[in-house]
Amino acid sequence: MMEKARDLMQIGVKTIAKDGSVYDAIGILGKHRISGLPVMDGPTLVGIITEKDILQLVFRQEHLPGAVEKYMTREVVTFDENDDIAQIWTCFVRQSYRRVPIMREDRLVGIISRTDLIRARMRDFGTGRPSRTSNSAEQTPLVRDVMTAGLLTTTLGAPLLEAAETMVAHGVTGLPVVDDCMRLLGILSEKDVLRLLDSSPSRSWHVRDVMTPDVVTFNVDDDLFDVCRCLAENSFRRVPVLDRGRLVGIVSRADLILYILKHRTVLFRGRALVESCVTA
Amino acid sequence: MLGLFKAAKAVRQVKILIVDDDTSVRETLRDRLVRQGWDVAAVCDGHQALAAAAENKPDVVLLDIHMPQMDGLTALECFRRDPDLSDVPVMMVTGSSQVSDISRAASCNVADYVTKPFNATDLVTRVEQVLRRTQRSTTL
Repeated sequence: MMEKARDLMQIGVKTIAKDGSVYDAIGILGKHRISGLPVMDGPTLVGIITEKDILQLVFRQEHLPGAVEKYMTREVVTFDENDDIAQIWTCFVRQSYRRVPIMREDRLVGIISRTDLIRARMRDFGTGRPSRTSNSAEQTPLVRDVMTAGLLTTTLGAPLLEAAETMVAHGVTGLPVVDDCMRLLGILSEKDVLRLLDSSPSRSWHVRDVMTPDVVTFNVDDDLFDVCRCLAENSFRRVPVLDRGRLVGIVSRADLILYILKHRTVLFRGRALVESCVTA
Repeated sequence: MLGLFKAAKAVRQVKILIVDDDTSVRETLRDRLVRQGWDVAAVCDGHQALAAAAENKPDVVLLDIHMPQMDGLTALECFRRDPDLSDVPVMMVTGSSQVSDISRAASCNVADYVTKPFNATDLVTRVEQVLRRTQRSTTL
């Protein structure tokens, strides 16, 4: 039977009232380690405010007076709890969404994120993981098959605002921090920047003051399955990829979703759900 | 004879009690658990939970913490003090991840602690684990 949104959605999602402040939103996002908050007018969903929205705001202006209502995205794509998961996959891939609210009539009842989709597909991996053979055209995919190369990076001594500007300008949610030899020293994420901007922003901050130094990495020849599991089970959205100790690429949740869709027949042979994604 | 005995043995429906003041969570979760074939009741605070459990003893209680009238941790303590309900497995299903709440729940022998938001299918798996543990300890 086709999986429905209600089978996959997260129930009991964190929300914020439309008259809550942006600083309240930052607090909730940070405390619960989430990247987006539905904005409510009583029981009615009226918008959504995301880490990315807030990062762009705090970068542009020093103070953020007024309620989240003033800054939120009003046009939010939603799905019904009885919609097929295939429709949601298509939406995520074509529109680069991170999450979609799930509705029952006019009421918000849940959220489906990229993580939920990856986690669901991980269950398929778990039961039907292909074995690697030396001469098979359908061998298990490796990290090198999916990683994005040619990365934007930053350095320890770069001014934080400059790095944040790069993130906003290029629409990325994280920057690897490297030395002159492309050895990875850490990652600067939207969350790191937000955390600092929430406390005591200063123009004298540098990347080294905020970055996350302990980073989970993978090697170019590691099994993609292990990356899938890592990104599905943890809160981070990307993992740097190393080759002989040097940073050569990155794999994000979005990369995985695209790859899984593109290679669906190999990865999930005979699985009706993914086939229907293609025809949707 | 054995086959006849098995056939005659009634299969009792699993009874779940949801306690949550959020209508959306209550209804969505109830729908999911009913699809599981379970007999599900849902109430919205600790007082109602104790009354509902006394009337029809559940196999598992899914208990929120922050609720009006009587919060979930107080209700859990009442469950443990009540001789008729002290053995009912209680799973906390809550937005709170505060250490003080977790440790207070743990001191009352809570069966599991699930933080919101959660995936209903994952929750079903965890309820089944609690049911299996309970059945095993009852059999032993």
